[in-house]
Amino acid sequence: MTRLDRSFSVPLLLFAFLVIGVLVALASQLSFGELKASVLSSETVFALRFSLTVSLAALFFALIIGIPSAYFLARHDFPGKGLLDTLLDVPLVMPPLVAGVGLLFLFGRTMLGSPLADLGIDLVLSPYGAVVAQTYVATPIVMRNSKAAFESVDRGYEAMAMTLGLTPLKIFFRVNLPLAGRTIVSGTILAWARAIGEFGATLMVAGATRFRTETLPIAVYLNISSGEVGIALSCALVLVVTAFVLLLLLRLLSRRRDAIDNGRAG
Amino acid sequence: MSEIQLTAVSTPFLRSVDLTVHHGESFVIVGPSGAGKTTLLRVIAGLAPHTGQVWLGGRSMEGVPPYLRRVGYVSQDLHLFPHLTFEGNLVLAMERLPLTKGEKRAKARELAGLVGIGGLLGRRPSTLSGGEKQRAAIARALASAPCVLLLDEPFSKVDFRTALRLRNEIKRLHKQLELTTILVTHDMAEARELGDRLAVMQLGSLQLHGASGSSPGSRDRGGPWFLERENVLACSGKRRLGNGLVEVVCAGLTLFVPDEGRDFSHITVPSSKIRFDRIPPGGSPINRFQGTITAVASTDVTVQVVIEVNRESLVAELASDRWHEMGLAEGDLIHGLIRLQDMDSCRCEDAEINGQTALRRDLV
Repeated sequence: MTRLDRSFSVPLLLFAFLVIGVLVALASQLSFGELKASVLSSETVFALRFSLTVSLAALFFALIIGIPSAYFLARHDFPGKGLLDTLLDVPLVMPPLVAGVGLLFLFGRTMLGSPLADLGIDLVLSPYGAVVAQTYVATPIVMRNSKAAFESVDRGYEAMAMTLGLTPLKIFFRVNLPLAGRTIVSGTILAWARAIGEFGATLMVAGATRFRTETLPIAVYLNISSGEVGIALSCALVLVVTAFVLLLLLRLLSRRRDAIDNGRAG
Repeated sequence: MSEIQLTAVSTPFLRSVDLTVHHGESFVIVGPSGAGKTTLLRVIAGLAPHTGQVWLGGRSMEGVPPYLRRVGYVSQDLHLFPHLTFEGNLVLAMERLPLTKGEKRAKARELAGLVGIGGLLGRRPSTLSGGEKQRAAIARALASAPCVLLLDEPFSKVDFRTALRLRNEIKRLHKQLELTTILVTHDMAEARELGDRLAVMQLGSLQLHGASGSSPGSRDRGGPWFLERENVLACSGKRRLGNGLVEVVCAGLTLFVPDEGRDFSHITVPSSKIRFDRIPPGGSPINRFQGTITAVASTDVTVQVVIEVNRESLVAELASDRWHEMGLAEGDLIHGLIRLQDMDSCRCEDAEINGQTALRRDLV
């Protein structure tokens, strides 16, 4: 290791220390007994269950919107495609709070909100609002990854599958989707992590009502605001552990993919 | 009865092609790269837009999508599905057949046995050798129960020995299955061996040549200009350098050849791979030579140049445009280069066939 390498490792160590410091700071605020009690409290359990339900529902919608859209974008050229493609990235770079305000106005008692309310669907300040907000932030992640995945699949496989008698629908499910699958799964995990940690947009659309629209991040916010540090911390730790597990999954998946790719090369 | 009929088929690469291939016939199309051979196969398979008519088994294919044509197509790149085992590839190809899962697996075993790789059903394509992949792709095309089989340069990506074996396999398969087959190649020997009839394709036009016995390339007609000639140079004074190279003396030149760990008597260099110019061409500092242009033969698109080097002749082939750019003529002195990756070494016996030096390579 050269001197330059050693000096470059200093900021790395400093940042690693900061990451560990945050985790330790979170975990060390409570004794094990207090932490256990807070994690098992009805509010934390509700927040965890609600977060999982909402984020998985949002993920479902993100997948059924994102994958076909990505396939269409990857396979077709049309006037204005570049503009549309850029537009679809806007939710990725938009501050979530701003996205939430936009969704609030869109689904409030004006524009889309009124006709939906006439149909008995009220999204604002309801658990469904949380699903809408999280779908909005998760879909572009699924779409972006899926588009790249479909673009990387050689069109020759599709042509070959056609000559073998497979219909376009079968080709999509039996050839293109499996060949693009790993990248799509990576995008799905990232989108799920993003949805489960989503705060700003969910707060604006679904509101912050205990035991009704209380996702884990909203539980942290509500309990810190009201001085219930124990529940806030337990919810925060549950979020951190969930995110960590999802990151590990992603890492395992990419390692498996590397191994397969190396196998192919050999 | 005609199984395949094309009438005035045109694409940006094909010029009003008419073709009739009879039931059970093995028809070979031979021609240089870029002549439109692959496009023609893609038109028949329904993969390339075109004008004109395509008839398969007496039915017009106008508006018929590829998945309803029952055409088995083996492309140059094979495109075996990498996420499936060899068996999975075969079973997927039987998707449209009214067979149970068990029957499909039984048929997969039968087809794998037919192409001689029965023991590899559980393997993924990435773990198969070039020849095995080629066999697997043929088996997969057959698995879809096609009425016609299209083979695009089936031996272009396998070594010479495997290619010879595969040729015999294809001959046997064709005899056994009596399946109407169109095979495209740029190799005249392959064409003569495999075709009941053959046609030559040049610049998007197809010229029929009847039975393969009267094919172009026989001695009286002279070899078609596009068939790539291989320079075959006898070697002496071999010395292994231990750095992956062998030093040899060929045609009075000291050349470095990749060491493949086996004995060899000749090196071969395709004519299109001999690089030369008035000034030394760029690239590797080794395997350079000087020579004199002693003959030039040209067609619309290519020029063949005979270069005399130390009383031996090398044949180089290049595009006409490039030749005219260089401004060279007979009698001019040139600087040449043979790149390591363009050389192949072999144990061969020389034989004079069709006025060209042909090789009988040792198959051991």
